[in-house]
Amino acid sequence: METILLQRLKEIHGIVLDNFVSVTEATELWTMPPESYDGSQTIRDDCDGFCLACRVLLRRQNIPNRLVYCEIGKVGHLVVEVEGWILDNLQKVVVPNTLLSDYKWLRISGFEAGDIWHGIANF
Amino acid sequence: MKESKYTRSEIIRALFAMPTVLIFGGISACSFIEPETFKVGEPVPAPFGCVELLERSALGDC
Repeated sequence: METILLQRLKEIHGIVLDNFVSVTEATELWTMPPESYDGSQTIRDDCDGFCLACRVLLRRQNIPNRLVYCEIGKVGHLVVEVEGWILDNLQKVVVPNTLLSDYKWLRISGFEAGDIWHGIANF
Repeated sequence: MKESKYTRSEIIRALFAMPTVLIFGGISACSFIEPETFKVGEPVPAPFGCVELLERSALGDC
């Protein structure tokens, strides 16, 4: 049975993804969504923009979350993680991290802005 | 030839039921795939994009 948390994650993932246009960036420039962001504005960015937008909405619902840097093949990618559930602009739905066997999980942020990042010990 | 204890129609019904059982069994199994909490290891540098964002914006959240 789906938990309330998972329902909320799916809702947020869906809201952001519905108004997300994937753009390939030439430079590694992370951009926060606008201050008024509520999920209805279109975000034109790559994975980091998607993640930062999700983070805004997750924070608004007091859902602790972390950013996870990974590699798919040799390509770097960023996702948001909540208790092992992954919000990812490359996935149509929220998925458990255990299902993404081709992702190489490398670094994880803290829960708060500016927290130290750590390596991942168990994947 | 030894007679089967099952009728022809029972055998055919069982054969058609097998895929259904396998499919629903597979669907049930997938719905039980649980995530695993990431365990943190040693401190590492933040991705460059994050470092730059925090330097540039007080609202940076990474």
